[in-house]
Amino acid sequence: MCFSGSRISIRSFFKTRRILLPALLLILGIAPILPAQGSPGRILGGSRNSPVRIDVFSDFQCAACRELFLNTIKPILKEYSARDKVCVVYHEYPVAGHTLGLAAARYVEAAHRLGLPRLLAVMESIFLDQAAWARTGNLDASVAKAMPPADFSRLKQIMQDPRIGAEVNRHIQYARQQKIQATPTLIIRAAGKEERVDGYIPYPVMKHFIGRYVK
Amino acid sequence: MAWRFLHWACRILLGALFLYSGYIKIAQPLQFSAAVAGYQAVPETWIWPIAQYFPWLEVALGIGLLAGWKLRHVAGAAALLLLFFSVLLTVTWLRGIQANCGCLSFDDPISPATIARDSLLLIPALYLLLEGWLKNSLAGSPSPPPSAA
Repeated sequence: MCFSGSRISIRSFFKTRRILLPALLLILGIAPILPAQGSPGRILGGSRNSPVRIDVFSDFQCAACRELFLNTIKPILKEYSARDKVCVVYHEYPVAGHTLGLAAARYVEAAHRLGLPRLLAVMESIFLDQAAWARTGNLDASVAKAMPPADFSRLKQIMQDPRIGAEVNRHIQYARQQKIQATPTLIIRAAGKEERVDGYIPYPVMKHFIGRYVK
Repeated sequence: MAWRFLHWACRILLGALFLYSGYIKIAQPLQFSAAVAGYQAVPETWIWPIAQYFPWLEVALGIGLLAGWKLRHVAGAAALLLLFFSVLLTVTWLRGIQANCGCLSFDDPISPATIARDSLLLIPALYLLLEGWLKNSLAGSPSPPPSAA
């Protein structure tokens, strides 16, 4: 495009637009809302380039978080994250008083260092056995059955690292910064919009919602 | 004059509440879906259609009440909806489910206070529905019971 009587060339027009358009969108409040770089959180599936991003603030000792992970997040990981359509990021936020939830978060942080498959297996096992370890306090049994004995020994070694506790604390601080009041809380970002949801969302609902943005 | 004031007060109160209630649900469809799921009253596959279409019914009722078009029909529909809400809230509370009311905000757990509030809103809706009959009764003139037409 070239305007008659104007010195603006096509190249300079697009160069200007590259700066002006995002600035205009930012002013109008419709610019894509991206989480801060370097925020804690484990990407369970998808990538930063996925069209939909779901940040989950969760507590292993919370029943609704269990339902959310097993019934909603797992199918999303399988159906959408595997195709890089949805990025799922988990943040630990054990509610005050949920001491076992905090301990479970430490196991999961250690499992994270063994790789994504181990991390997912440990999360699933901890959630599946929630009622049992909440009663007995024996998290070791739930974590051990999610991996071979050699890996479990490694995980127990990793758990001695003081950085594990520090990382869990970083998750908690981040959740407080985000003013998370309860678990589960989801922050869903798609097409420059953001919606915060407190509570359990069934998979059929998420499927319809994601379908708006993903084919 | 007092009747006129009461009539408009009921219409504006209910109309504004329905409009506001519909608006917040349209603006936050996922949060409203989570609230509907919290009631544990419908299958999971129904939740998204409810979250998509139900708020528009509230908006339509709000506009109808404020515009005054077919007012008795609209007031009747509003009364039925409020009655349905009151029963649903009461049953959910009696079942011991800790759900979010999702009525006028999403930070509003179901409690006797929310049940009382929704039940009290029935009064202006019923007033608008039965207004003609009520006026005639109080004036002392015999009047046939109100019909929907």
